Amino acid sequence: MGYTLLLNLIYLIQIMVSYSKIGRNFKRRSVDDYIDYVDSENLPPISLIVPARNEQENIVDNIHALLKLDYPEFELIVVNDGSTDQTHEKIVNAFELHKIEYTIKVSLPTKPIRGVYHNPEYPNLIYVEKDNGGKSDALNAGINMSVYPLFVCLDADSRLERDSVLKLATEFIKDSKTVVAGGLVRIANGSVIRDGEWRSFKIPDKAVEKFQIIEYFRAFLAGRVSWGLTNSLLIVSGAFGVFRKQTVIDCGGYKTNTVGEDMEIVVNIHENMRKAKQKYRVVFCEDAVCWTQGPMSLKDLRTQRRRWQIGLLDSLLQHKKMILNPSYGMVGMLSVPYSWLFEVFGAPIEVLGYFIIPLSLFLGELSLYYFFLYFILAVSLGIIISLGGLILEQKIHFGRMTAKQCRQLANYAFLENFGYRQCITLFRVEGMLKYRKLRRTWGIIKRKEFDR
Amino acid sequence: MTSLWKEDFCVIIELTRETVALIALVICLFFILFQYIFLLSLSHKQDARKKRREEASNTINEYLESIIFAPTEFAKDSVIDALAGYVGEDKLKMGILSSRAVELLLSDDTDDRQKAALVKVLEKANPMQFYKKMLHNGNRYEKAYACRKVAFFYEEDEIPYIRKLAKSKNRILAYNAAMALSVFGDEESVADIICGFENNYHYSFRIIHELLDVYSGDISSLGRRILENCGDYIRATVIKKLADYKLDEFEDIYIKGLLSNNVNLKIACVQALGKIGKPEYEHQLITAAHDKNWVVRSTAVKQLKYNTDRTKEALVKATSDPEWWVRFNAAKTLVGIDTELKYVEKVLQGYDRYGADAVKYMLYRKYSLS
Repeated sequence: MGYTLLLNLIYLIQIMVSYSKIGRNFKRRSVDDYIDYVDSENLPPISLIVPARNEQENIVDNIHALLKLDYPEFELIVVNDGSTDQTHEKIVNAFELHKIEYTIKVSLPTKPIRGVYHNPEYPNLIYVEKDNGGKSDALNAGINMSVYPLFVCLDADSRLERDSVLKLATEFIKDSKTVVAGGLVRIANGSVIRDGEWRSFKIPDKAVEKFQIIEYFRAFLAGRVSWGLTNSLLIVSGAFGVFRKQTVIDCGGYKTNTVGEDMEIVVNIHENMRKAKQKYRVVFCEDAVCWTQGPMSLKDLRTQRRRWQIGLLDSLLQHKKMILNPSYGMVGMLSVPYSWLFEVFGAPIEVLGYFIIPLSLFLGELSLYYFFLYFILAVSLGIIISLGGLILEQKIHFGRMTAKQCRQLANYAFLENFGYRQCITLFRVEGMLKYRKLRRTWGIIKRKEFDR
Repeated sequence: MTSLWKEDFCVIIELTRETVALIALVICLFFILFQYIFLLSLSHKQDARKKRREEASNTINEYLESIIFAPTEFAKDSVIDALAGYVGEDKLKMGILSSRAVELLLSDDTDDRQKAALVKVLEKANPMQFYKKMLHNGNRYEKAYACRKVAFFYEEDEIPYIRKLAKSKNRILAYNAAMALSVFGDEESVADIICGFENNYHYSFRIIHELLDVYSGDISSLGRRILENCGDYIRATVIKKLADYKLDEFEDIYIKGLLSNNVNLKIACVQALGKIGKPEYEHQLITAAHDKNWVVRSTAVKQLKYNTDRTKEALVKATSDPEWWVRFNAAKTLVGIDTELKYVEKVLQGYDRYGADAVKYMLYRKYSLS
């Protein structure tokens, strides 16, 4: 019970800190001239790297949408990581690409590249076909291929808003110490996506998708905003993040021996930059939005959450020397111990509680009265945190969600604590128990073509 | 007795625990209720705000259309008065009106008569006065916003006040004030601000480029002032921007910079000379293409766009450079200038596979080969 109280108290503090920060950011954005940068030559040119494996449903639409981005100078590098479906054929045919002779600066080792394709009618687009090596390997290949100082890592099913990249790139202008900038990922399930572009938000039909929407608000808007303030953010979503290319190369690129490459690269950057005693910033910009498809079934959700937990454990184990190590500053003293205590051990402690408390009740150690009292208290705390996430969303994103949609989701913020959160906890524990077995496995998650 | 006290103590602990838990539960439940009400009110407020913005935008667009296409002067004046009354002192409406009116003023589709009408709208609505008030009375974000608006409408009276704001510790306010002063063309202030960045690596160099981009005064005079008073970091940054203006009056500084030990300064000077592109710089750039620093070499080969045999020979040699970026840029430049492909063929038939690969890649990117 004490553990639950402490965890929820920390979440509450994060929500309050985030609320204040988001409010200040909102005022700052009202005077921001980032939109003037659209035509500016001073914006750093950027490489968009899209690793893709078996993405035949959405890949062509996504490429079309990305080519329309509001950004003065960029290149789009699509890396086909040994797809076994029609991904390759669809891309080549849709854009009439031809195989070309290429030169590539190999800064990071990768699996062999089978070919590079290009069509001068799409001068920004480079398509790379390579042997399967995993998402990290595909990203490294994209980095090798890129010629610009910044790169964006994107998922093949991500849908960026037109000015999302612009908003993140201006973080690198406003402060030259910025090395990583993460954006907000939102669940696109149910939303209207037309011509590969997100148009309007709609609540999906399935409960599992609705719960994920609330969960993402909580995780991103409460957690990441507050960690970003202390420059100890340990993860930037693999679906949408901007990196300074040379920093990533200096850290050895994305590690291919993990399924949590998004967390691993950021923790690695923290470690390397602090070791080298270089000033740097890892920021989170809640206004730069990327829409992505969440798992549509409990089975797919289980695969995803198991993998996330394995990735988390992997990254923390690989950097275990950072725990409570003052030479790593706030990262070592605060966010890494927090991740161990609450993100890693939180799930098994909670699951233990599922057994111990009913057992205590059964053995007469705990009275029925206290059982219900603590149960309602635990659930109430969970509801407070879930509603907090929704409040933060409404604070920043006016117009994306109507009041009616917000009311509907608020009901699910209540219901989330009666089954969904418990399932997620069990999936996370499963991930930890199967850590050794599934350490290198991504699993298959069913994708749906976005509604047009 | 001791066991009685122990028992009493346990009962007290139990009661305290129960009380605390009950109080905590009650607080939680009230907090949930408060959150729910707050969430609903916030979401309704955001909905209303969005609706208000859309309504204001549509209404102002309708007014402007009526003004532009008004059949008589009297009708035009009436609508202008009505629009000014509608906007009043509302920040949102004023912002929409001023940006929409300016957009129409700058549009090629608007004729002179319509532009005159729009000028009348701006005189009547008087956004300048509104923003001047905001500049003096608003919070720091409003002041920052007002700085840019006041500069846009060229209210020179506010320059002294904006100079004070440019010294603010708040970076957002200082940045916007600096941009405003640059728009005004206040040479002395802008030069001071830029030279002040020498010890403040907080801002990216691109901020300095933005300041120079919007500068409305004599850029060469500003450039001269800065270059005389600043250190190597600012000098390199400013030269990089001045290069776009192709000012040959700084020729001596650029040529002197090629001999500097500061790599950034060297790179900036190479870029500047390359952009000016006078034939007499060819020798200097070819020399820079042999510099010991690969970034300098890479920059030099990018700028070697002279259509002479000497340049093409230098580029052919650079395609064998040990550094990938130098080869890449040399190949790109060579393919760009060697329209007869005589020197390109030389590289393709040469022994250096890496150089040949780079050139082939550029050929495929440039021409639709398959």
